[in-house]
Amino acid sequence: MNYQEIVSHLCDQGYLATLENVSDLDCLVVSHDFEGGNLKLIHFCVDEIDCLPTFFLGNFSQYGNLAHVLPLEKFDLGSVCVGDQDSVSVNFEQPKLAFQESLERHINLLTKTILKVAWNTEELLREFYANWLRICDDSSADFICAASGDLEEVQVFSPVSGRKWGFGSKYLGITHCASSLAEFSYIAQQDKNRSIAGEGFIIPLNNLKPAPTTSELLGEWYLQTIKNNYISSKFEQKKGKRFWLIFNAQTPSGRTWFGIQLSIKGNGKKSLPKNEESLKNWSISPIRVKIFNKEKIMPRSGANLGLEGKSVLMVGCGSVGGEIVYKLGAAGIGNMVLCDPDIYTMDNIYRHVLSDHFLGCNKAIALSLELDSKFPWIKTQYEIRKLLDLRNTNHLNSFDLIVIAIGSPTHERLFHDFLVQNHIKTPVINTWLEGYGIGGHAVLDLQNANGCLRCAYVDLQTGARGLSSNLNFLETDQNLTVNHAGCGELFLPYNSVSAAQTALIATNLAIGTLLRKITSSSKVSWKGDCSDVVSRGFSVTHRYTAFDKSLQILPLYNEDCDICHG
Amino acid sequence: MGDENAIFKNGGISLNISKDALAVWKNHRQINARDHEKFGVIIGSCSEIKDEYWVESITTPFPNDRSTRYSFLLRDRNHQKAVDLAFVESGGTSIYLGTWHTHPELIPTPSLIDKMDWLSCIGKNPGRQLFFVIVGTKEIRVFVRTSFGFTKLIMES
Amino acid sequence: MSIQKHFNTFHDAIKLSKQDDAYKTARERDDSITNEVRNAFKDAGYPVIEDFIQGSISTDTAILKKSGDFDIDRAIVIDCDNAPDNCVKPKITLCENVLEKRGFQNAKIKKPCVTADYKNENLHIDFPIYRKNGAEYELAIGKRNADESNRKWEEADPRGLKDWIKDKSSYIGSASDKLSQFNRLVRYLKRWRDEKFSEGVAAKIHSIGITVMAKQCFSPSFDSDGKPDDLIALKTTVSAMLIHGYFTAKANCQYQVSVFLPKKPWRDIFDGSSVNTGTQFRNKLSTLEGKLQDAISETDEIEKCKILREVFGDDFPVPEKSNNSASTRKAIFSSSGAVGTSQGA
Repeated sequence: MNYQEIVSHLCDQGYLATLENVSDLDCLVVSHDFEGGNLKLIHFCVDEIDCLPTFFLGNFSQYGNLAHVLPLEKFDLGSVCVGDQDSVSVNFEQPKLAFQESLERHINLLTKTILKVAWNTEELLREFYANWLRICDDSSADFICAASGDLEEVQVFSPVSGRKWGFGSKYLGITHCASSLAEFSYIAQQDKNRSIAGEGFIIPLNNLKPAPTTSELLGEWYLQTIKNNYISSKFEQKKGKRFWLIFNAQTPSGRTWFGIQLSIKGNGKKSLPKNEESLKNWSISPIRVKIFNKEKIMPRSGANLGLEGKSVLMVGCGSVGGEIVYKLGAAGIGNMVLCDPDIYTMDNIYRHVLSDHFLGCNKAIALSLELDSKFPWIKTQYEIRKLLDLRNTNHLNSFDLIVIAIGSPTHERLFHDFLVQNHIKTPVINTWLEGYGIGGHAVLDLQNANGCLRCAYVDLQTGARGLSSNLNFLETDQNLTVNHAGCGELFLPYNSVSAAQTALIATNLAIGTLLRKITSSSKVSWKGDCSDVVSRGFSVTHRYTAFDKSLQILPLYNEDCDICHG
Repeated sequence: MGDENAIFKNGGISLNISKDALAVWKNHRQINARDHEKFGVIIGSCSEIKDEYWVESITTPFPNDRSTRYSFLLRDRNHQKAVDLAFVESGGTSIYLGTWHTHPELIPTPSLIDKMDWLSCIGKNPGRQLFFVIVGTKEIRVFVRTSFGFTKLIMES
Repeated sequence: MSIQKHFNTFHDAIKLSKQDDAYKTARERDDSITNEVRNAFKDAGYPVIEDFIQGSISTDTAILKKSGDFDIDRAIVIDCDNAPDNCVKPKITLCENVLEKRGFQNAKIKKPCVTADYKNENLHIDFPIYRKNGAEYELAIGKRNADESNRKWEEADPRGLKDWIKDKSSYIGSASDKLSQFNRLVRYLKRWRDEKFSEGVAAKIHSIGITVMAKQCFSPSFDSDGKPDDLIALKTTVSAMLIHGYFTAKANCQYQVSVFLPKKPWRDIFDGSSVNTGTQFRNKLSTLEGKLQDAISETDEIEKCKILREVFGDDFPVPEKSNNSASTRKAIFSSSGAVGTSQGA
């Protein structure tokens, strides 16, 4: 790296840049005057730039608490965060331009934080959580809290000894209110053998100060916070050896949770310290708090709260159905009824989501158990029934969506007849895959909208009702199954990737329907490779050859469908 | 415009606009430099299988509505009254089918504000197919919401 | 409804296959006469070694004639070793010992075959007689009293021709569907011929000629879902037929048509045909091309069908208009809908 060239470029641009030696390290130092002060920016020389060149702020302590600037312990330097380093694409062929660009960013940010006090405070509050994490001890266990956030007492349980991961490895705080919530029963059932660690309080803060920059400043922060916020006198009078104070406060980035632990030095019990004098009897440490409620967890982990109230009937819990319910659960669907009469057997292991300890168990029951333990707020039920046994108007109308993944065109058409005759209003998705990795399909039938399942069964050659779907990529009347052990042991060869891919298109349709983003009857297909099919001498349909709209949501309506055009 | 019914189509849906409605739109075009935007609601019916829709009548601005050359605010209660009246008189087949307004351009395109308003109209009428008409000085365009955004219907020649 | 569905309806109305009920009488007559031919030829010393249906029934391109007449093309094959040198002899046997005995007044020995009509049943039968040498067929050519120079066993390949018409090995992907489309196109063209030409001229535009032209010019058409589009396929096929070189321009905007058999004896199907036939054929085919293009461009379903009915006659369906609000059942709603406030720019 040619720093001389960079220095001369920066000087040409009007910066006061020099090469220096600080603490025995080569540095590029830029001094910049601005209205009301001077910035000293220090860059430690590197051999190669693999990200936007970083500058540290010199004489950091003179500026007080600056947003987006963190102290570098031991030196009086501030580490400046000018944006997500990884997402900036850097012109490494022109280092001097990268330096100039970076320098401008640093100066803009720093002068703004220094001069605009209100903005600085707001930004400090926005990054409160990140700053709080900085002063926490990395090795201490997280504190998981099930609480609504109101002022109340919290009972604290210790981590289960020897546990390195999972909920059992964390502190757990449960309030009286929370013990009736679904989340409580979910966490509590994970580990029943916990000992009580102590007690504490949930304290909502209306008056939040920016986080202390070092743990030494925590005591001061605590005293000010106690002074400026309401804490009930009942809590203030309570005496103990160890207290957990779990705070929550509104910041520009949402409601933030964090806490401190107070332990008395020596013996005896005392009430919460309220001044510098009484605080001397306590040791104080910051803790990381993870709030465990669905409003926080579901959106943060990728689920949509809007789906929580939705109810889905899943018919068929095979390889495709199993993948679908997992994806629907992950999307945040609140209620699912799973139907399948089949048993989970060895033949299913490699393409099914279930683990082998469910061998011999009914697939619907097994999936229901798996979903309940995977997703905290899901409610599942199971029915050991076939599709055609589900023909009950009231029952079907009680769902927001029915998903059928049974791979049986005859049963699916019979079921569709029932839906039409009985004016069932619930949208229905039929999904199936074809063997040998050639592809898969999903059809969304929105009742009272143009397009129905039968549109996907119109025989394209004659325009009459057909027996196999016109979406298919494999020609009909080919024996595609493999016979391993005589009748009853036929199976269609496909792998778990095909099942998962098919489940994805069906789930996308399902979520779009439930969120009312898809408002017309639709079809989706994915087209796979045909080499296996060709090598086995099977033939593909014209649609396969011409298809170039994999994964796209297309209108289902077929103008020759006699049901839509009755 | 105005001599006979016009039919607009898109995929499986068609919208048949009565010549009376077309005549009103023709008369309300923003041709002069000082004309304000005109607007109103669309009232009509649809076939049992919901593939054909008919625009039967439209409302025009009432006293409590507001408009400029480039914007409008439809808020007079008389629009709702007109819809309710048509609904009762038709025995439940004539309903609110959407809104219309004029643009002072030859071939109208919806603005972001238009689209946001249409989304809110759809939100107020869940499950209903709505149509949104913009009357330009040369062409009339009809838009519907599909899975792919707002798309215009094609007029049958 | 799609235009293809209307083509399907039209096709159902005009197609004729051996299994059709309408063909039942013809089939029964055919079976019983063929049996008698076998007996008579056995007695005559040249037993029938095989027989088969040839012609459009065998290639799935037969149509119901507007007159209601049915044709049977039954090939009778005898062994070369037993066959008399005079190829007219078996024809006389067939005519006199079978047909006339059964009371056919009008049984006739024509140059390539023996023919007879069932007057009351609108049934017309043709018996070409072949002798077979190894895998080679030779057709008995000659009228009843033809002298040696006017009669001969002529090389022919009836099975080869049939296989050529039914061949789908060159259609890549969905070959059966493409062959079905070809069969439909031939039927459409034959019905168009019967509809658009006078009876005399139509008789000169031989079905086999149309079939060979269509086969050589066939351009299949399916949409991306695999749904056939017979209208486009017919239009492109007809366009190709016009420029393929079958029509040779003569003076005064006249045309001579010639189409060679793709199999033995490789002769011109339209050998001896007049420029009047050629000119009419060419010009009407050109008109057909234009009408098909009109139908393709037309967007209204009913108007499309009307154009096609003009081309193909009354068997092409035209749906009733149902586009007005009065005649269709309307949906009844539970509420009028919420107007609220609206704004725009």
